[in-house]
Amino acid sequence: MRIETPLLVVGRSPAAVVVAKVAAWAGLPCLLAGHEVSSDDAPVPLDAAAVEQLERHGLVDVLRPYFTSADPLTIGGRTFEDVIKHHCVADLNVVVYDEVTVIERVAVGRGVRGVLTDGASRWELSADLFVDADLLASALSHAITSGAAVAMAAVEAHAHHVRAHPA
Amino acid sequence: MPTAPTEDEVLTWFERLSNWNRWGADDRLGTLNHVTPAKRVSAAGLVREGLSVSCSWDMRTGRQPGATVENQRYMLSTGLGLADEGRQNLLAGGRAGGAQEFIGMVFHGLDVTHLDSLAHIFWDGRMYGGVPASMVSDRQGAMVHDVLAVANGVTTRGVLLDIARLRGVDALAADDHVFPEDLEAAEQAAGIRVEPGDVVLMRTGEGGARRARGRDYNANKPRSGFQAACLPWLHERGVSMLASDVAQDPTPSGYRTVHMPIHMVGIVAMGLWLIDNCQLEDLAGTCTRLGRWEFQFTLAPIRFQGVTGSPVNPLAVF
Repeated sequence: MRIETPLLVVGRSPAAVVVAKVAAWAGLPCLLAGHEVSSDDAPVPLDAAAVEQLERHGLVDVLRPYFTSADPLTIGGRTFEDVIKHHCVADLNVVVYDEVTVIERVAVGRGVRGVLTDGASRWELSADLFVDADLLASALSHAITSGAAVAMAAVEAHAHHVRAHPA
Repeated sequence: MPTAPTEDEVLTWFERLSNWNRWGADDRLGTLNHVTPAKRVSAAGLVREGLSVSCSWDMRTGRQPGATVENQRYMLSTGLGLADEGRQNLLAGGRAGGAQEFIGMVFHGLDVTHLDSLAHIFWDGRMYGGVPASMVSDRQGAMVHDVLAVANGVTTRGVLLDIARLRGVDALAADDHVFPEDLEAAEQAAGIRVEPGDVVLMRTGEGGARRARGRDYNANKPRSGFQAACLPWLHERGVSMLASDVAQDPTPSGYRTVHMPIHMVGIVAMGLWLIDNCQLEDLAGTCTRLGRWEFQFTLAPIRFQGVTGSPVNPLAVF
């Protein structure tokens, strides 16, 4: 069986859930594979650029009950990932598979081909666009800003692809 | 091995399997129209042992990996502090007391046992019967096809098709999807035939894994389910509701556009009512012990206006 997705997001950085949520918010379906929420929940103050990105994508209200301080906005790292990831689960534009890995990855343009496996079963996987969040910043504020930027670039690339290849 | 239909073929089923206007332009029941008064009376005749089995999971508060958001329970009054100064003699001279709470949950998803109403899924901006998706609004919820369509509940015959038992495994592998041939083999093994108005409950065995891992069970992973090829079979047999210990559609389904065929074709075109995330381990045990896989099935949703389904506790009565 084959899995085709416009966007595949892997990696354990908090940027992974940001990429998935922001891309889905902008209408780009994606597969978030193998993400694990970090165990560190130490409060992290967010910088102005991160807050601006969260506001732009409607995520400040999502996170508001979980901020531990309002000035500057501060939140635990694990809590941030937990909340955004659960909103990914609830988003019909995001498929979330934990406890899986993507192996035998081969880059194809801006996308990737590979095999998704849960250790017992294997699925051929093809993604038009690919983001490895482990290559993005892991510090929370930078993960938010870089994740949002990568997501919007993916949305633009997908739109360009659709315009160039109408169904 | 059976052949999976192509995505193009599945897409044609929005027309071919459509029940739009079959029971009138204003139909709100969809496949529940197959449940006739005679069917309910007949199902009541299956109650012989006087034994009732729940097909639901417990709902718990706290963090759970498979839950969309944490279930919430806030106590408004409890049995604590009744002797505190200021609370004495409030009711019946201090002899009476009571407890009450607020509860909240997102029942759609992969955790809570729940019913999907026909307002839950859209395709091309339409719900079942061609109702515009815009009839579900922020302010008013589902103005059409909310769960009140089944306010009087569902009582009919239920049949358990135990595919895990048929395969001789604890649980189906994630890429081992259930085809019509499997449903018919399970029918044969159980000595029954699915008939119009029946509720089909299909067991993959995933509930055993969920029970074993408890609060740590994570449903966000590839899992088995009904292959799209089952849709024409369900249509031809006149199944009224579909239930399983997963969320019906396998994940991944193998389809890019119609990636949840049972939800998309089933709910939107057929008006098929789905009960996701059932707990079928107890039911399977009872069926095996009694040697019968048919029973009276009952379900009553919460009568919450404008809501696209309901958490439910389906019952199998033997």
